[in-house]
Amino acid sequence: MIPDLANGVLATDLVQAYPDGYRLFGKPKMNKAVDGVSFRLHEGETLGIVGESGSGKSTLGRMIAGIETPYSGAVSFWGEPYAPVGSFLWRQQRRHVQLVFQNPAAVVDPRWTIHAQVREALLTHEALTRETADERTQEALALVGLGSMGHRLPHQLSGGQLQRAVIARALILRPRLLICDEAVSALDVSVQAQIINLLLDLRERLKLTIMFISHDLSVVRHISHRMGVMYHGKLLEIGDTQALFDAPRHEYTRRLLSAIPVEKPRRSKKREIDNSRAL
Amino acid sequence: MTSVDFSEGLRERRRYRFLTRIWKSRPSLVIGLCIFWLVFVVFTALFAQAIAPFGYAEQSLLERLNPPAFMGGSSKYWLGSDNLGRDVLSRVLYAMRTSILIAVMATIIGATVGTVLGIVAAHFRGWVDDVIMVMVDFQASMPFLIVALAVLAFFGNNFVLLVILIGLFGWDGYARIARGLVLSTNGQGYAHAIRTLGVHPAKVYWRHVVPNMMGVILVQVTLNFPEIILLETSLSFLGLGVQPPATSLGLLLGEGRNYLATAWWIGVPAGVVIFLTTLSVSLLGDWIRDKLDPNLQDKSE
Repeated sequence: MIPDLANGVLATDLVQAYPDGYRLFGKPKMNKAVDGVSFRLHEGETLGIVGESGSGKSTLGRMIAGIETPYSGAVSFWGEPYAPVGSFLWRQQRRHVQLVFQNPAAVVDPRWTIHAQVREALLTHEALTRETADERTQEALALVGLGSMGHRLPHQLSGGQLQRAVIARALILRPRLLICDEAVSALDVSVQAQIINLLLDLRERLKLTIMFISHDLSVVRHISHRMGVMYHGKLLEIGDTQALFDAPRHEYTRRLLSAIPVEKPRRSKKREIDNSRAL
Repeated sequence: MTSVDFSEGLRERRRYRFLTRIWKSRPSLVIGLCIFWLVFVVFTALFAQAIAPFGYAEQSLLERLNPPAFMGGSSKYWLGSDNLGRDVLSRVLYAMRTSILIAVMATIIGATVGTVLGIVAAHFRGWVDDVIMVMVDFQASMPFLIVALAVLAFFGNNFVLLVILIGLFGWDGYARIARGLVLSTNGQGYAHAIRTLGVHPAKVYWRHVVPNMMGVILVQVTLNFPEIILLETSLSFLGLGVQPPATSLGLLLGEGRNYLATAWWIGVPAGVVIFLTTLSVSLLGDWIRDKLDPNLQDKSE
């Protein structure tokens, strides 16, 4: 198979490092959050990224989204590099890549109705009449099941509804890539399922490419075609989700997978990490 | 022995609870009075000309140092007359106009300058942030009255300069608040998220950040406003503020000082107005802050 080089995202040797405080003399030591990550994200696929807290998966997501400039390495987004953060071109590129964050209540303006906030995203990139914009906004809200709630303020919605509104705001621009950074982690399990099913549904309908960052392995297994495992800033392995679950190649992946809670613990294989002793 | 300690603590707590209950049962009355007084002050400031029985500079040398009407003075001068035979009531009314005008304009200047600089500092970070924050620290550590006196003495006194100077008092508070709020919302909050939609930062600030900051800024205004009235009072009292024959509350207080022992009615009314106005604004500010703070809101219920 010849890989489609023009479409999708190509990350080459991405490094993100933050200075470790300031030094009066000499350069500060750099802490590497992401350390030499390369992978390809194909158009139309869903890539899951798993890893523990501090493994650099969120930083990786921010670099892939182009809202953070890598320390070194390059991101090619549908064949193009990202423009410098904040530039005019960068703002125009925003419509092609959208983010959904962990805490929906923190990323919406508490004083604007969700209709107005979704419409603002649309009007930022398209010059439309008020009526058309309202119509398109209404469509987008209906798509995520909030058709009748556009007039509400963020605090009048539940966490799950608010996350739907954020997804509507992201998808109204018809982005090529949707990056979900712990998008369901703050929601309770039944609501998580709703959001996941919504994403699966929208993926089919809108032919979305999704990068799904989560520490929840079972969610990632459910949603992603391929998945990558991060640990200490490095991408340990990446591959077909099912294959990776069946035959993890890396020792850390094996330990991570064995830590997934199962329905009937007594019957399960012995865990690699003995949690009882740690407690 | 332990039981004594216990009851002691209990009584202490009960007394405290008693006081808080009084405070809780009264605020509507206290706040009502504050609002009433402030409305009255604004009304007087706007219509001083129509209300005042005399002009502020109208002298009558034969009617000098008349005591107030309720102390057996002439009914012509409700609050008595001063050393030049000017009606104290009229002068207080006009003084309220001057002082409130200065305080309102200065507060607007200070709030605007401070908020804008705070946003600029938080947006650009780096050396811009450093420079603005050094200016904030400088402002906070300098005795402002002395700086103001120096500037007024050096450039000469005029009304516009006075207003601008008083306006710059307290901008550091606004700057610090605005900077903190913008930093937090730029880091993880909605401003950051909305910017990733491709919205221009200026629009994000104007449409989202500033309207959301208004509540906190408003509280800072109510804390800053009394200080500004007092600053104007101090400057006028020292002779570098409003110049006679125009009058302000501070000037009245300064003039009345010379006659405090013989004709207290010249200075005291201005003092009472200053006291009531600053107290009202402070109490109202506290009340608004409590109303806006969801944590405090929950505790009181």
